Amino acid sequence: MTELIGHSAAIARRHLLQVARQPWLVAINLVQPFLWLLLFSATFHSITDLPGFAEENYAQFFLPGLIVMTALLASSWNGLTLLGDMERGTLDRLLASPVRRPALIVGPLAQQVVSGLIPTAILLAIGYGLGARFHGGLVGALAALWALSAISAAFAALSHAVAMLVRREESLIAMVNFIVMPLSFLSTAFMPANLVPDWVATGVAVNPVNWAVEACRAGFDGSLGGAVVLRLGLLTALAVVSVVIAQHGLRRYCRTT
Amino acid sequence: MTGPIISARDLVKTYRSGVRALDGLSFDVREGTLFGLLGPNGAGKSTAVRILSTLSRPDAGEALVAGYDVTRTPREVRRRIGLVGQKLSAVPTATVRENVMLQGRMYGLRSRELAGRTDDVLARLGLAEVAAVQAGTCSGGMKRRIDIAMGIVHRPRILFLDEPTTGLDPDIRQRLWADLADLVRRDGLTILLTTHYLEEADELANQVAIIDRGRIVTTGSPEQLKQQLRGDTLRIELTRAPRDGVVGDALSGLGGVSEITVDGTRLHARADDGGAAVPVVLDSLARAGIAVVSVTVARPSLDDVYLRHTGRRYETASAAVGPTIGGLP
Ligand SMILES: Nc1ncnc2c1ncn2[C@@H]1O[C@H](COP(=O)(O)OP(=O)(O)OP(=O)(O)O)[C@@H](O)[C@H]1O
Ligand SMILES: [Mg+2]
Repeated sequence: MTELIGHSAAIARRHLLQVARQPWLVAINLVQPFLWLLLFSATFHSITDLPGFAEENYAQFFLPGLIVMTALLASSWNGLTLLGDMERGTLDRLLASPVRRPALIVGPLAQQVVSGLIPTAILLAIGYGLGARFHGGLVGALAALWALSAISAAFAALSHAVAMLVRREESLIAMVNFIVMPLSFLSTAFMPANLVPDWVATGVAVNPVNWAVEACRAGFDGSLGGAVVLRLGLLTALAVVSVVIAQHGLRRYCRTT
Repeated sequence: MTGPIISARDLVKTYRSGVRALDGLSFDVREGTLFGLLGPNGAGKSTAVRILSTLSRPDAGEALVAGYDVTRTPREVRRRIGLVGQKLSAVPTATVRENVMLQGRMYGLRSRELAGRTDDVLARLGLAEVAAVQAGTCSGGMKRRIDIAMGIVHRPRILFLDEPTTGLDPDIRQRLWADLADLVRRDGLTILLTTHYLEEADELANQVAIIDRGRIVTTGSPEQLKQQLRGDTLRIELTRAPRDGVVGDALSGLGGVSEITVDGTRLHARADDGGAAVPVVLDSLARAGIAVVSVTVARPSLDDVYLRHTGRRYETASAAVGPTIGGLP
């Protein structure tokens, strides 16, 4: 176990270094959420006047969802690093060493959770400038952080699983675009559930991305309750299952080379 | 350990594409020697290395590395080997030092010891000055060295190198050869190296196995292999390609000359005593009306060994990638 932690930490560190040496990648991933935040806060200003819209300010409503979406997207690209490692001999070199196999998944996943905090912090700062306020206290912050980490871990692991299956950059990119973006739109990131049609609301309810958005927003607003605990539980379960799937992908990859 | 440190028995590997990369591959490597697996493109060298280094599983056959079965106890094997694969593996955005340290961590080396060993191997491979440089900015030859540093930082007993000098400039290649020879001599490391350069196997290896289409066609020290071919090789350049059979008829009666092959304007033959054969052969050719441009007498090279065992010239088999060598004068 200590060996697994040691190996995972060493690999996570390597991936974090890679992020630190290419800060423009983080910056690029922030451009879109940044624009959305500015644009939506300005144009959807009057939405907040609708009956059924609880928040006093759209940035207040939108920020938690946006933070989740940003983390989600970044995590979904996590498998690209693995593809790079496959392309070079880096993965082979690791596989020929006595590295504990799960560390090859847990390491990059830990990096993703940690490096996801950077865009989160930046978006929080911008949101503050636009009038969004955090009302959740320490417990709320922990709940939001948990939701964010779990969804990041889950999608980073799934991204690895897909990368090992398709082994091509184009295919991974296509998968992300076809799955992750729709999942984001099928959540309450942009609109409260009581303002969308019923069939959409049903989809929203079973969407893990929405669990994270809702849990994160509840943390923000300090409206924690049983529903949030349930969602955090579901998210954690999803993360665990995703890691298991990624492990399976790795084993399959090793068998078929 | 008294037996071989690497022992491959009847390895078979068929890829899902249907290509049979290994077709009953067997060989042994003695501890503390440099073993050269020599073969043209697609012969199965990388597949053999991948199986021995636990990256790939054979369909049949078995292999013991440092006394452990590669399929049943891969972890034990991994602890004892280093791998320098055909593809460069350093992470480009990490420094040379970080790359080596990361690899060392996988073998449970702790910070202090690891730092010391990293400095050692970097100094040893002439990488000390670039230790803090990002690996991505290093030259091809340096990247190869980084790979070797990563392959030996944990002091393995066996180092696998898959075509380590392909694509390197001749002087850089020479330098690498010296380093590898030094690792075997000074550290008692066992090296299994694949190559498609005849010259490299000849120069470096204690033991060479020639692999062709997934099988070992012959094995021995470079000297032994060349001694299998008694006598000398005659290479004769003709003014123009002769008609079929003419050369054979002209030289058939000559004692001590054998294995005559004609390839365009090039005539190859083996002679028990090259020097004595030249005037006789030239005389016979002249009488058959065949004009000669030049004659070379050479000691047999690994190229000739390859020809003898596979029926093809090595240069043709490897589709002339890079400089093809083989003791040619
Ligand atoms: N992953 C793979 N899937 C399908 N076929 C493969 C795979 N790897 C290798 N082959 C095929 O198996 C044969 C042996 O390949 P291998 O890479 O072992 O040869 P090699 O001796 O290393 O050649 P080279 O000098 O080009 O590196 C070749 O015909 C190759 O095309
Ligand atoms: Mg190869």
